[in-house]
Amino acid sequence: MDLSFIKRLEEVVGRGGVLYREVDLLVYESDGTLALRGRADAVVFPRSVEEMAKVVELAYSHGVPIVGRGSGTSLSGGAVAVKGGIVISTARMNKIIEVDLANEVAVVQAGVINDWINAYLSRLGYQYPIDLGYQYMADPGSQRVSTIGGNIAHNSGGVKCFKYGVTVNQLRGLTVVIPPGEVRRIGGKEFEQPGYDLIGLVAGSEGTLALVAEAVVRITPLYEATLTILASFKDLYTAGRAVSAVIASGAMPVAMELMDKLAVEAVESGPYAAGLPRDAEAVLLIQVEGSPPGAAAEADKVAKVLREAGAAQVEIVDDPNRAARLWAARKQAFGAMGFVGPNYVVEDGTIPRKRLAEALAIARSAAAKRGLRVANVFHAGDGNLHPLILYDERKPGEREKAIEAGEEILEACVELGGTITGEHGVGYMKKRLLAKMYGEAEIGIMKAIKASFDPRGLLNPGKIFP
Amino acid sequence: MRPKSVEELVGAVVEANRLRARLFPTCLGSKAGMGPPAAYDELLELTSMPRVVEVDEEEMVVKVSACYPAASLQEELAKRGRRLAMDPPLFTRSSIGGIIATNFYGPMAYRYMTPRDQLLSVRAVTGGGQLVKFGAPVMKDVAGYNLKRLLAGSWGTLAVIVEVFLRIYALPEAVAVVETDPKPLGDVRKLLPTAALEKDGRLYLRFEGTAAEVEYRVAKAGRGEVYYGADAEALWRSATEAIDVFSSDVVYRVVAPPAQLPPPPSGARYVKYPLLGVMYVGGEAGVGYRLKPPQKWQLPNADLMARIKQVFDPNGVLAPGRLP
Repeated sequence: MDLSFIKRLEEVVGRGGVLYREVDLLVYESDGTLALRGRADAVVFPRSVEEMAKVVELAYSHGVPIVGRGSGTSLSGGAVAVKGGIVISTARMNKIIEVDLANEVAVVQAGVINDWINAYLSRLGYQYPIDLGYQYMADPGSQRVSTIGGNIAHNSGGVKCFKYGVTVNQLRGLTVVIPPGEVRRIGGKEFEQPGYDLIGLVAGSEGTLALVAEAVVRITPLYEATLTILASFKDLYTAGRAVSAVIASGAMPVAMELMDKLAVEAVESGPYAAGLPRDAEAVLLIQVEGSPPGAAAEADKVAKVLREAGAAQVEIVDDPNRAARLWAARKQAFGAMGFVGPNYVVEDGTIPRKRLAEALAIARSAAAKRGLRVANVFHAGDGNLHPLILYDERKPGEREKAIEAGEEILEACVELGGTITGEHGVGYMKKRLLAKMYGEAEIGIMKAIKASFDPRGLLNPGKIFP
Repeated sequence: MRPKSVEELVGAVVEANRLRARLFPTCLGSKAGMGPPAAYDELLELTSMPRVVEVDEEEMVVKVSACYPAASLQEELAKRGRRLAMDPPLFTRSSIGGIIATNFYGPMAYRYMTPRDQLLSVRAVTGGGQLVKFGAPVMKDVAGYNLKRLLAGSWGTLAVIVEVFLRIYALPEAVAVVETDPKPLGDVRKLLPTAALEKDGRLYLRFEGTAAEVEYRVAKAGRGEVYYGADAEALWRSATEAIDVFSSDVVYRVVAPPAQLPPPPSGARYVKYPLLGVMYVGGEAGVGYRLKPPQKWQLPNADLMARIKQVFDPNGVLAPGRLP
């Protein structure tokens, strides 16, 4: 990239706002997808919507690819510049602009870390004697580091989406930059907008249609009580059936998470050990909420269903500190994998929940026949599987085998009536598999929409489409 | 025109493209004379399409054909202890396809969100005459663009919906509706209702969940008339249906940030969802989008919507003029 272009970028965002030396670019080569790298020519740090628009305009008019990046936690290669060009980082667009309790929304810049909203809301509850606590409900496992902009680009899920929906269901308004460098406001604090759902189109478009600069998100009042139910199982099949039984019972858990033995072993070997039973083949964590008597009644109901479905042990955890440790343990499962294997590929298929047991068996055999181990964590309530296929990159060919096993699992997910990605996105890693989900007609329509927003094909090129 | 199969439907749309004829898709027609106006040459009546309903009560999803009457589906689901968590105006006169095409929602959207959010997968024939399927019958899916959401609320202008997968819910253990005097928004919020509705000067608070949960909330709700079970549902149904508001010659939908929702015009019939900041007014409202008589809506970002319309319906055969 020639220096005159860098200079023009610096004129927009200031001298410290552009990185272009090789040593600086190195850290932007990867995101959370360990199996993929790509080098950008420059990383640009706008401070405002207007600066972001000017940067897009400059790059677009010069035919330079543009890749948006929040904290770079994408698990599908979403933030990797596979075709070079510039990375637009939202790291300096990190302000919570407004929290409007009367309208139950928060207005944030794209670079705000997901968990900051909740930290802010809980401080608010502490400082002022308000009767209602609030929370932002879309809570991906990465929420302590991932940004709202990245969450929107991937339409991230999390553990609470069984009850509260995924990221797109939390969005009231967006400020985006579209090619060739135009700022658009879509929606606002209103519940809903007439006309086509542009917010729904941008959410999950993985930076290929627009860059998100700001968002108006729904915040949700908290109930008085939450209770956690911990259940262990002697085999995965029974655990899978128990999940279906809980859902069919009409209970409305906030979250329902399943971990298999290897995943539990990983977590219990690390700093987030929470006393999960290591001898169980599967551990199910469920959270319910309501008024104090309501939550207790719901927890009893769920516990009864679990026992009837064959759980080896069921415990209602009413100590909030212990419950918090259990949930933190679940959220750190990916990070804890280092305790059981040097590298992993994580997949993200979703299946009808009643086929969980089948999918688990498929995941195990896909790994086993390649001599690999697989740890499983699931958003069981949504049927969203995260098989973590362990490999050792020092052993030649293992990485490829792990990727191959992952693809086999995802193809099986589609055959079971599900999808290749529930919340991590297609990105670079899954684009070959999009054709398993969609035929020429559907992909043709998606590509035509892409072309109508981004005629030069410069927004996150090389992603989503095969 | 009244196709009897998916093949005939595709044929009809392809033929319309060839002839540059303009079609207006409709099922039960409860909202056909409402919303932004359409210019069309022929009605595309979908009432003779095959009726499909497959309830999967374990997985909590239902597959249903577009023209299936919403009320019949609700009955079908109730037999299995399940329900649609939808309560839009005119529900008992609507088809599922019509509710989705217009994204008509009621006060329960506060807790369960809109039909657009409950739509898991859709099979449809695009304006260009292609049979497509978007989404999957699972709770989470981010493969490719989320195009099913575009069809919800597109008022029949992008594609003709053939069949959908929707999320369903268990019938709650207990339901209560408390009828009371209107309260300030902040006070309503503190009661944590599942949904709230105000109509003709009365506030209706809906509570659902375990019996213990509902009892706790009802006890906190203060003075008012309390209805349980079937009585609560009957009252809720008649309040949310809002037949009287919608039988007015002029109907407006007003949407605002909830705390800034203007008061209803004095003397006009209205139904208001205070937690959502949404109100339907039977009469001149002065603000909002007019549903009756049809009127073109001034939409922000209409140019972006026009690009989408062009992709789905390049020859403009589906309800042209209605959106954007």
